Parts: sequence; structure tokens; C-alpha cells
Amino acid sequence: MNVRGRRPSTGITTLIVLAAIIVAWALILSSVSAYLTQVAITSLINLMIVTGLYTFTGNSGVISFGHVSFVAVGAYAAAILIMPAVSKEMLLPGLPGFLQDAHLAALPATGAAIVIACCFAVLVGAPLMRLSGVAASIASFAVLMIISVVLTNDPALSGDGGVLTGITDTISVPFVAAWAVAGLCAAYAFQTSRVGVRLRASREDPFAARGLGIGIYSERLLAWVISAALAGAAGALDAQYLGALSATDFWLPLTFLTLAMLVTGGMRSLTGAVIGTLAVTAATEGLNQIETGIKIAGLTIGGRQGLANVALAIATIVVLIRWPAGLTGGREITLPRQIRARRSRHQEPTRPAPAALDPSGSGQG
Amino acid sequence: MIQDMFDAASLGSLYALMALGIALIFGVMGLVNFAYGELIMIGGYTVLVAMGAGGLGIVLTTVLTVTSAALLMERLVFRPARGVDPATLMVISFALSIGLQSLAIVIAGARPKSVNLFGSLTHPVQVAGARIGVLDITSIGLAAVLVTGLTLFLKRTVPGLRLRATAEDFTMSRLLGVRANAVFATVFALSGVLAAAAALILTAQTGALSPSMGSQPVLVAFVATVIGGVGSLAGAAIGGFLLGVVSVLLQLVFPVGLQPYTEAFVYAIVIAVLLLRPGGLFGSRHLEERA
Repeated sequence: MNVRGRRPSTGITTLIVLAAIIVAWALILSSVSAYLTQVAITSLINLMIVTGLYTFTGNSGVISFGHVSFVAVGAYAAAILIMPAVSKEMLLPGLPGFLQDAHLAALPATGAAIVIACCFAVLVGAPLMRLSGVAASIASFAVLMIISVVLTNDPALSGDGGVLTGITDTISVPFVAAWAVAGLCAAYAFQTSRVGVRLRASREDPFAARGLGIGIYSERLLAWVISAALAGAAGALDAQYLGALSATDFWLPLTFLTLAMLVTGGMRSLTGAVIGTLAVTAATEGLNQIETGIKIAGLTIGGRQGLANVALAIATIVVLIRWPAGLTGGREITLPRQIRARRSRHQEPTRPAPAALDPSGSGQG
Repeated sequence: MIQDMFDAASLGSLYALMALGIALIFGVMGLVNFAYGELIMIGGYTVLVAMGAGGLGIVLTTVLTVTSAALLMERLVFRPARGVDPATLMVISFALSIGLQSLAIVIAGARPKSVNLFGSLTHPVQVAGARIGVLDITSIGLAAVLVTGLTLFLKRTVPGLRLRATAEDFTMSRLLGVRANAVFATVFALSGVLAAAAALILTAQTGALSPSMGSQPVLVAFVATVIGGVGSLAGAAIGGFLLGVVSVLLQLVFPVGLQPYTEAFVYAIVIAVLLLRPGGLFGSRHLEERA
């Protein structure tokens, strides 16, 4: 198995570079226009979801279609905690007393939402982590469907038809950016920890990993919970940003978007999660800009959105066929200095032996 | 009571057809084709376009269009993507599904359109003292015919044999002279035919067309495939049938307040089945995926 280029950089430079990229992205976008500030916030929230998705899917190799359910749980939890009691009386009459009166500020509400998302993750993950491969993916998808149905239909939890309005709080780019960077740090800490490395080993070859004494279950469960924390935080931020929630916000289109972001960037590296998110965001916004300049008779608002999706789908397919491992190919970003130093360290031992000693002429390296 | 049973069987037949189409592709190519629902959607909209052609004309047009769409899908998207790992393939087909749906929204608009297909078939008929729609009987009959036809094709004909060989051991069958391109095209064509049948039944039963009309039932059908067992066509069909029956029965049994949750319950049952039998109800319990 060719490991070159697949080993994640264990240097902290990766994390620093990625954090710098994110901060730069946030700063640049928010200083250009109000519209781009919105784009920045949305993309950072998406980045947190994708980071969460990566923490589980990238490390374990199991594709999860259900992470948007954690986003939903975080969003509604935060909404319930932030909404003023007056709104809650109107929209959520079925809430128990202590929730009716609860009224938290942004930070503690987000924290609480994370905890709730984690509890939910443990509840769901405890049985699910025994599954592997396609079965696990389908099961995660089933979780998404269940949450979606519950949120749409349980007035006590999520209001009539899953619609909640009046979640009052303002949100700022620095706040979201800080959370995004924190999410990156958490993901990085996990993937370089012992548990993370064991999980990656199991990803490559579960049977060999078991032979080494790695019980995949607990490693996966930890990744699952951490990824749920990230997704839940993203949901909480989303609730604060949008000010109004609808159950249909957290369903298949968001699942597709975040999955496409992760896979086009490169499922197996943290850099992939970041690059994928930023690239897809840039591409989508670029497409939107082009569309505003073109007048096509008969195109409704829905059509405009549809064209952007078509283009995104085509772009995803093309990228994935050409670069199946994503744009980063599973590699982590490093500083050029380090790359040069690493290359010179590696080239000495792998210089091919002189041809005279190798009659078959094949030669390695 | 009997009427309910026929309702359940009718929905079950629809899901069984779809599950078969998905399981065919999954079994032979290892590909999770999320875009299968869009084939059904294409079939539905073709019915709308071909409405003036009379019953047989509509059926033929739909079958031809959907099968061509399926073959195009294989040639343009999945053949270049051959050799890519299953996870990425899944995302590619997911992207294709969303892309086709969005294209339909652009072309035909997001709002549902109504269509009256085979309206004469909704006449109820007396069977054993109960009134049952002819459409239900037709659906069940059509599904049974197609399933039988498919089974015969796979078991008794040479192309079917090549298909099964490819499903069992791709490399070996190629070494033995089976042409992969022909096999994959055949698989997609077959699933296209099944999709066309499903589209006709679905359109006739619901009378409504929308860009997402295929994705909803196909999710269930895809789940049925996994429940029924990885690699088992019979299992997929049975799984689809069971899911349809269970859905309808739950709708009937549930108290009115809980009715919207039937879908959630079905998915909870899915999770339970997967936990107890990860290989599906009919797959081998010892078959685990090797990375």
C-alpha cells in the first residue's frame, strides 16, 4: 500500500496554516460588502459542519449521511434556550416549565446546545457504531430521516411544522470565526491523538486493526460524539444567524452540500475539509454572480437556484472523477520550507540502486 | 380488510420493483445509484409529454426514454468513474441525483403537476366481497411479471449468466471473456426498464408529478435493498415488499395523533434490522465488507 502523501502531517503547522486561511477568509469577505459578510458567516458555519463530518467520516472511513441531524438538534436546542419566554409561550406551548423560562445568552446557549447534541450522539451512536460500511451509512441516513420527521411534526419541540421564529440574538463574524477555528483545533487534536491514529488504522484495514487489538467500537464512538459536538455547535450558530428555523433547513440539500464539500476537498484530511468548503462556497457564489448578469426569459426564482445546483452537481462529479481522493488527495497542507526539508530527508535512502546490480531493470523509487 | 391488504400489497410491489432496480446495479457494479429516483422522475414527466399518444404509446415512450436515460447515465458518468472507491461513487451518484432534480426544477418548475394516467383503471372491482381498484391489481400483477421475467432472464439466459458471473467475481469473469462494458450497459438498461414500470405505476397511483417524486420512494427502496441483504436480488424484492406492507399497516394501526410518525417508525425498524442482521435479512451473516 502506497503510504507516501497519505500520512497526515503531525506538525502543528497544518493547524496554524488552516486557521490563518480561515481568519483571512473571514476578514477579507467581511470587509468587502454586507452580502459577502453573510457569505462568510454561512461558509464558516458550513465549515464547522464539514469539520464535524470529517472528524467522523474521514477518520473512520464510514460515510455518515446523518450528521445534519446533529446540526438540527443543536439549532433547535439553542433556539429554545435563546428565545425570549414570550415567544416560547406562543410558538412552543408544550415545553416543560424550566425550558419555558430559560433565557440564555449566545455563548452559554451554544455550549448547552453542544452538550445536548453530544448526549443525542451517544444515544444514537451506542447502537450504531457496531455497524460497518454501507449498513452504517444507511443507519445514519435513517437517523436523519427520523429526526426530520420528528422535528416537522412535534409541536412541543419545534413549533408548528417545525417553524420557529423570533430567535433573537445578533451574531458577528469574529464570533463565528472563533468557533470555526476552535472546531479545527478539536478536529486536529482528535486526529493526532492516540485514539484518532488507532481509528485511522482501522479505516485502512479493519481486520488487521482488530488483529492489533484495536476495538473499533469505542474509537468510532468517540469520533462520532466529537463530530456531533462540532455539528451541534454549527447548528446553534445557525439558529443565531438565521433568527428563524424551519425543519426543512436541515435535510437533504444541506446533507448533500456538506458531503460534497468534504469529498471534493478530500475526505481524508483536515485540509480537505477546509479547502473543500471554501472552494465550493467560492464556486457557488461565482455561479450566483454570473446568473444575476444573465437574463433568461421565463426563469423563476426557483430556476435560478436550480441552475446553481446543477452546476455544482456537475462540478462535483467532474472533480471526483478526475481526482477521486479529492482536491487535496488526503494530504495535509504544510509550509514550503518543511516540504523541502522533508524531501531532502527522504531522498537519500530511496535513491535507486545502480542498474548493474538489478538485472531485471525494474528498479524501485 | 382485504382492501387494506391489497393497498399494502400494491405499495409493496412498487417498492419491490424499485428495490430490484437498485439491487441489480448494486449487486453487479457495487454502485449505490442515488440517481435511480431521477430515472423514475424522468419516466413520470415523459408520461406528461406523451399524454396524447394513447395507452400503449405512453408505455412504450416511457420505457424507451427511461432506458435511454439510464444508458446515458452509465456511459457519461459511471463509466468514467469506474474504479473509484465506493464512498466516492456514492457521492457522485448523489450529486447526479441532485443535479437532475435541479435540472427538472429549472425546466419544469418546482410545483407539482397533475396527470391522469390510466384513469379508467381506478374503477373498483368486486373481489371476494371487497372493492379493490383495478390499478392496484394491475400494479401487483405487473410487478410479479417483471420480477419473474427478471429471474428467468438471470437464471436461464446466457446474458443473465454473464451478469451473475460479473456480480460474483468481476475480475475472473473478465478473464473468462465476459465484456464488462456490455454487462454494465445491460444492467443499467434492465434497471431502466424496472424504473419505467415503477414510474408508470407511481404516476397512475398518485396522479402527481414533481421533481422530487422519485427521490422519496427510492430512499425507501434503497433502504429495502440493504435490509433485504447485500447482493441478494430476492432479498431486495422481499425487503421492498415488506417495507411497503409495513408502511401501510402502520398507517392503519397507528392512532391518528401518531400518524405523521409512521415514516419515523419505519426508519427505526430499519435501524433495528440493521443492528440485528448487518448483512440484511437474506444476506450471509458472515459476509462483512473488506475495505
